[in-house]
Amino acid sequence: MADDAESPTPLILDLGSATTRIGRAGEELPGTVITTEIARAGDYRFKKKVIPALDNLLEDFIKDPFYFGDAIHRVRDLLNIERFMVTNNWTALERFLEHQFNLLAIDPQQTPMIFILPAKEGATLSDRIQRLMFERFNVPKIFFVASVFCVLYTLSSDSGVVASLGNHHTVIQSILKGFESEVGPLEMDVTGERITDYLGMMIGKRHINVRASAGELQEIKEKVAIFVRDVMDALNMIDNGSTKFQFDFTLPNGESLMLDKERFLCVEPYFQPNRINSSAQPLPALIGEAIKQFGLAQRPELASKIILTGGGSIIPNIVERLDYEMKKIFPNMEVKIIAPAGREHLEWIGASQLYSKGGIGDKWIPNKNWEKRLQKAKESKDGKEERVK
Amino acid sequence: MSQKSLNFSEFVKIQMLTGQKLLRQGSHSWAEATFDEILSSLERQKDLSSKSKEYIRSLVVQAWQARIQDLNRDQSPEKWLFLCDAYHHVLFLLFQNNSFKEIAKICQSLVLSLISQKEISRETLASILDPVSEFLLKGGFRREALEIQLAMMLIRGSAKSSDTLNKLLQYLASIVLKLGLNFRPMFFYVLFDNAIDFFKLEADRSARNELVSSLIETCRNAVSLDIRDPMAQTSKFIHRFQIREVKDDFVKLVQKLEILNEFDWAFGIIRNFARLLIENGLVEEALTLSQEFSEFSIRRGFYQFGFQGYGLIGNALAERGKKNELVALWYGAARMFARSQQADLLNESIKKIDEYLDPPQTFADSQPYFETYNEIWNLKSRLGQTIEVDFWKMILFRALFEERDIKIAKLAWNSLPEAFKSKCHPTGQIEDAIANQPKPLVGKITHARLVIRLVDQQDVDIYCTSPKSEEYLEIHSPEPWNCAELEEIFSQILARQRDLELMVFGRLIYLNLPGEVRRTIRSFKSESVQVPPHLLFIMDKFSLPVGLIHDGTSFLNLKFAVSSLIGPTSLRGTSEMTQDNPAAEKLRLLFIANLNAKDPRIWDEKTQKEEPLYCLSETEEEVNDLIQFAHKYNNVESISYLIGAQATKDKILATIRELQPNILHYAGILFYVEENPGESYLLAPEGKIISLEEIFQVFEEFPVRPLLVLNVKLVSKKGDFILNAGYEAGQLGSLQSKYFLTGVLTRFAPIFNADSLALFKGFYDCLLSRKVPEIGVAVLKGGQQLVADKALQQAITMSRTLDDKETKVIHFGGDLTAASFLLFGLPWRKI
Repeated sequence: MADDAESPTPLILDLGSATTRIGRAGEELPGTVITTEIARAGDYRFKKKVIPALDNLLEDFIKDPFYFGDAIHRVRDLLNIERFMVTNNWTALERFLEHQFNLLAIDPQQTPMIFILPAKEGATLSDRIQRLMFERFNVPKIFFVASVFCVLYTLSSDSGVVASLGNHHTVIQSILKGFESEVGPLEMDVTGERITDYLGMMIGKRHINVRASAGELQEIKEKVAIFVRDVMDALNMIDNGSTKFQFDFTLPNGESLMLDKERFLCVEPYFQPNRINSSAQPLPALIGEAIKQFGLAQRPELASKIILTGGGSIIPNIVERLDYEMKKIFPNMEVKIIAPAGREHLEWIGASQLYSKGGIGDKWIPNKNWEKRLQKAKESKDGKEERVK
Repeated sequence: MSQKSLNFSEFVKIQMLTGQKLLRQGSHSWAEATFDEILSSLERQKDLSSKSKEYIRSLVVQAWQARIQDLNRDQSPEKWLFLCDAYHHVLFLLFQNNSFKEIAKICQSLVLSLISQKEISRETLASILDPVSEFLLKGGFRREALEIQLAMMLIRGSAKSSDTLNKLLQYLASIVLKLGLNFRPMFFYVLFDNAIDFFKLEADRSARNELVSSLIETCRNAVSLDIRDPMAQTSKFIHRFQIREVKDDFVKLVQKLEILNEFDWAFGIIRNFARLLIENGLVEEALTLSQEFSEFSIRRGFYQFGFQGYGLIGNALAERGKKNELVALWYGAARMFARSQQADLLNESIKKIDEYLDPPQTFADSQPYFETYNEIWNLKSRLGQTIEVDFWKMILFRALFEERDIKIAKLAWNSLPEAFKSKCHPTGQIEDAIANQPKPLVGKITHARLVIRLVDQQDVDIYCTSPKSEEYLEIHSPEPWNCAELEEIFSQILARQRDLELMVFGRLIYLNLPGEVRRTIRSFKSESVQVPPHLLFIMDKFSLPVGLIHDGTSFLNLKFAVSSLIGPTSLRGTSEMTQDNPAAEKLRLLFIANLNAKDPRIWDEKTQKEEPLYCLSETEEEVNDLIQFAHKYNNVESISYLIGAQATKDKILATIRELQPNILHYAGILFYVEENPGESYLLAPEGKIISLEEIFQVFEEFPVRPLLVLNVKLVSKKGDFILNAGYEAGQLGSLQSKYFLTGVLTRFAPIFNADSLALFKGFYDCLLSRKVPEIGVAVLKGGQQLVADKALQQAITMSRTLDDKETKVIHFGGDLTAASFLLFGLPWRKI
């Protein structure tokens, strides 16, 4: 049951560093999944401009100089792509939301919004978003929910360890009976981005002439990356002539690329961070630490609810590998790794369920100046129309 | 060399295709990366000429330009996004090559295509041209830069002050102030009228004059005070001037500017003035004026303006459809540029000839057509600018019309590009027509010795002499010798084993010789029946086997005692060299063979033991045979030999010193040192190096320097066998003049077989029996004997299979074994 049957259904936005999910609350899956990227006409990848004034022509000829989503794919090879949630480019975020609202035919002045906050830097982000939504879009009310709670909500549970393997952050957080530990979320500097870079470096070592952009490398990574239970075993297999791991594909310039050990070595830093010169603890050790933030008696409950989310959790065989490693840390405890289907959207689904079951209640943050601004906007609109007449 | 460049050209081809495909798909970055690979590896290509590099760079530019053309036809919303990026790429490539004029051209056409569109602001268009003018100024094209600035003023409707404009106006003032008062309005008029050309208007004279007037108004405020008044007077000048009245003043202005060395401006005026003259029906005068200007500027060393002047005449002629005159005009220009060593302008002129010279449609047409290309070949040869198509057209002409050699003419015809052939008449006509042609007349030159000096890209000199008479004949060929193209074909034959007969190859070298040389070789007859004629080639570098040249009757090495001298020897010097030296009574021979029979060794995985790396047991057999053979002769004073592992360095040097041989024969491995061929070395069995120079130092102690016979396989310093060692053989051969040896006998393709042994036996038989003391003649006789024996064998085999009704022709083409022997030194030198 939704909180308020009369007001329009709120919009849930999960602004990830790589992907954004947008959809009406109460639905099963987000209606729009789009990359959190922006490209601007004139911001070419090719920087050696002999006659810079040529770019002025773009202003005359191109009406909408910003590219998002599918349009970005068409210009990916031409323009610089910015992940604006990583660079904290708020103007870009504003353009992005404006574009999405137009596309989804949503009137932000009438639509309440629910934002999912990441475990890290949630507070600063919520401040900025609130200001943007109220002042720029005049949203009637807004609600922020921490991603970790959304995840637990999907399991109808209030305890568990959530390991979120995002593109820009890898965060492990343990919640017991709805309460965070005193230590707070644990962070690991092995992220999706660094894994992509590492893969790029390994490809570069093998094929000197490959010059793939970050976006293209990420696509390659999503296609090939895989976890293995024992790296040494897999390496031995390859040395003995096994072609089990071979993966061939052709780059746009016709050069063919054959990967084998790179496929599992590129994701290995989650378990051996020193491979990419990171001093972080391996993922299983961090999860173990998150569990140990609570008392001995509560640990079995947490160990049986380790939930994986984020883009990194989709890499094949991660559950088996993590299970194998966790059992080494907690040999006498029942360890259970939960990786539900559609886990890349888990936060969004959780938020949607939270709304459906009335979990938000009266915790909305109302826009105090909403009516005043609405009036003002109406007046200025009428004024314009009159002038036109 | 050819192998490498072949691979590289294939690489370029593949990358270009990939790049073009990527461009069509809109993947600009990937295309850029692909092209970058070509361009960066281009820098590393040391063997490639700068002309080829330039060509490959232009291919990349063309690919981007094609992309721009495609995009211009495109109607998608993102068209301009891609178009601007493509423009950035093209302009950057051109900027890197300092092609400022090209940049100006591209920007001009872009601006002209946009100028009618209302949504584009005038300021945007002017700001595109602003840097163009700056580049032109930087590149030294001040007149063009100023014209662009004036065009910008017309676009903007006002003069916007900038550094470039100020500099250009100052420069303008400096020119104007050099001119007399009455010339100044005329000068400005032409300047402004030319600037209006930027817009490529098809306006009539009065509309143009109006534009000029408005431009004067705009520009007046920007210029300094001292030239403001004459500029104002220009408006008056426009209204009252009649071309017939001011004609002479124009000519005087041009002359004045020429004398002031302001050819750029003189050209600007000529261009404008010629147009005015033609508009008024004074075509002849326009042409004469342009012709005078071109010739004058070429004489003064302003070749580019000379070319542009020819261009003006060319355009005027082209408008009137006078193709023959156009060809004649550009041929004249090409000759001028070839004489003044202007390779680029020569090529440009030849491009124009290509454009206007129609491919022949009848057999009668083909003679003048291919004759023109024969001349073009000669012009291009002087500057080393020839390409393969030129080569085959030249060969076709010489084979067909000078030598009447249908076989080679056919080969040349087949080698011409299909695109060209499809425009010509069918080949059948040529064959029919040639069948009835008489053979060329053969003259008669009777001397004993023929010396031909061949220096790449230079005229050929021929010197015919007799040892005992004072009379001599000196012939100078006005056509140059070109070796580069032949070298290419030669390396193709041996490296790629292209299907080309030895005789055809010999004919190709022969046809490449200038007509005068061919006539001399054909007409040359020896004075006496007993003495075979001597033929000496003096060459700047050796890479072609001259013995293989086939004059239509025989290979030269089977007809002449051929030898070569490498280096800058002059023809005059050879008169002294033709003096004979006395022959020795008895000969001392030293044979050295197969020094590396046991060492160095390499582990062989198959046999599981160490195997010698450079063991040539054939050489041992060859030398043993020769030693036994030489023992029969009474004129041999002594024969010594050092074979295999026993011959240490000390032993070899001591033996040479003690024996003082007349002939030192070495068969085996020679390590070739590219940087200094004199340091090329034999590897003694104990691992010590014996360089050729060390041996030559021992020779210096002798009263008479020996003949060095090298039947060697050449190995590079890295230990790889050198194939097609023509150039290396030449380098080794040239040591004979440096160390005053009697001669060096070596070969470009080492063969250790029965034929090779037979040839050596023939050679030693002549020398040791003292029937023939000259080394060149001994080699000739050896070769002739070998070929005769082979022909006899062939005839016997044939006769066995011959029945009564059938007749078979014995065709004996030539023999590579014989041809591979090269004598460096004077063929008449005795031993």
